[in-house]
Amino acid sequence: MKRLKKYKSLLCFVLLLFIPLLTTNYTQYLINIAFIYILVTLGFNLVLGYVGRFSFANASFFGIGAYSVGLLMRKLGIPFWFSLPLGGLITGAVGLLLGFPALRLHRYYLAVVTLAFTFLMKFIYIHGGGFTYGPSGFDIPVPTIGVLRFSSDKNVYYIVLVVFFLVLTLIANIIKSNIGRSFRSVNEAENAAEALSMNTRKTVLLAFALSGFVVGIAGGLLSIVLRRITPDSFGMLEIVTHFIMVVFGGLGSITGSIIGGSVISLLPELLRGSQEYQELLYGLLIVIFVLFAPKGIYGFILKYVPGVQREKLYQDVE
Amino acid sequence: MIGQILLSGVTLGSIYSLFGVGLVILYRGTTMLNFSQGEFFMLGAYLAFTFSGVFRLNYALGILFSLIIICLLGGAVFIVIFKKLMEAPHINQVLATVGLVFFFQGVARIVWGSDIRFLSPLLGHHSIEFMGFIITSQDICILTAVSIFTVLFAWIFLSTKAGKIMQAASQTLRGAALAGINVQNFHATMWIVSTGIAALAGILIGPLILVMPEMGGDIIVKALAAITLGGFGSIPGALVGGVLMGIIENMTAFYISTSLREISGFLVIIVILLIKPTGILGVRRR
Repeated sequence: MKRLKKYKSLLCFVLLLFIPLLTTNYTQYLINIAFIYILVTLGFNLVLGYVGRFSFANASFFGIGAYSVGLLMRKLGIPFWFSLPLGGLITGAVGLLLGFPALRLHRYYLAVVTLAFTFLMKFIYIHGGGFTYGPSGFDIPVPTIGVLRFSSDKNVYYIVLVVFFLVLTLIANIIKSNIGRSFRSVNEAENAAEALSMNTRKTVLLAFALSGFVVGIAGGLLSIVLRRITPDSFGMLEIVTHFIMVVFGGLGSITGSIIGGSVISLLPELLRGSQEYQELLYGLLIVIFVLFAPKGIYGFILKYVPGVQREKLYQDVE
Repeated sequence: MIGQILLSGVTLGSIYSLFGVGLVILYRGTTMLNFSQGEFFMLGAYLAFTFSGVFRLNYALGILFSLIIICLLGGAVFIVIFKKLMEAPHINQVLATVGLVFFFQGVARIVWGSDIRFLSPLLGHHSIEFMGFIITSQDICILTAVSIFTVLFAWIFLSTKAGKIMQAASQTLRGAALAGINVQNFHATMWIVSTGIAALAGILIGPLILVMPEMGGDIIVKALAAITLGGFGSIPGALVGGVLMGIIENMTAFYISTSLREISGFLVIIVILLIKPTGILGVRRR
């Protein structure tokens, strides 16, 4: 039984390889988007859920990732399989920088400064002139590996899938390790952690850098899935959407992030029928959700669905 | 020229002060930062527009009705939502206020459409020239209203029983409850008062700026910058920070570039929080 569990993710991966056989182009596009946003939620969860810092900077990481990968591909002609990790590293560096104010500032101050930073980035995209192509954005060249061109949604899906599983495995392993434990301890009992001489500064900085990396990679994936980036995608709506995804899924839970990221990213699709009422319904949903399922869907499931066990955080004691 | 800029900066800034005080009152009284405050601001302006423009009601009466309706709305929002969230983690409270932002913006778009509306000035389109500056009647309205409000509020806060309750609650909520203060009623009152203040700010500045559903988002950011500048959580800080914010914004727009007007707020926030997070007047106990 245990042996089957180890291969659970491999099995998932193999099954998911067949998805493009069953979908239309548009559905495939939606699936790509869902995977991207699951990564976004996972990345945000690192900072918000595990380490517990009130940062509104996630949307900026998303944008910086998308823009850096897009610009590297378009302006410098760097192939995507190099641009993508590079973009991730750039965003990770930005994340690290933002970690420093996070150490010093109190909850609401951090919220306000990360909010300001995100809007500032959007301003830079809009007014960056030739460097960032301005308010109408720019097109991304088709990603290629040698002679393989990934020009359709179904082709791009495979890039998304592989990157997704690589990053997911990375995060899952980190969460399960000592680092993950230190994330949790910084959130729940910072003084105790310090007393045990855990380096809380390094932990917070690492969480921010990692979050930046993951969300930056997601942003890079966004640029090849959308094939075009505009500054509009990285403003207030995006900030709030990320927040909703994490809280909806459940703070500090990988399963929750998967649920939250996929469901919320597809929500505009579900609400498509009532264009006028979309905004209103969105707000209403948020409020209803906060009132009746505050611990996220994951928390809801834990409470009301019998037999579901809490996610194992620590490695099994052999 | 610089005098004119200063003047309009002070006028604009006093609206930021007013709105900021509303934010801080709610924050100090309930530890909640209400991101939807801007929506009450927006709705106040829209209601005033509706009463005076559409129903052709006497302007003063229209303003009164708008304020009353918004205050009732604020109380209703508390009873329906935030009363139940009083013990919830902060992130959930914040998320709820954000949900309200979407909700009210959506409602405004449906009821009034997405076009820009124009609110006519309270006392008509008059202006006087004084020592080379041009002062409009609306400027005078704003400055008078905010000054009266500040004095009134200071008096209430410092001398009356209600004010003492506010002071107690903002220092220690539990202690206040132990001393017999009804915390729920107090919170409800704070919601009613702060949303009313927001609506008043919207009505006052409506004639000067574009009335559109996105108004709320704009002012919230500027006001956050203002109260951070003045010292987060401090009422005098909100007053000082608001006026300064207005001046800074106008100076930036005129001397540097108009496109920087939008982000002047963000730059201020970032600079202040990196240099002196407690703000100008801040000496917060946190």
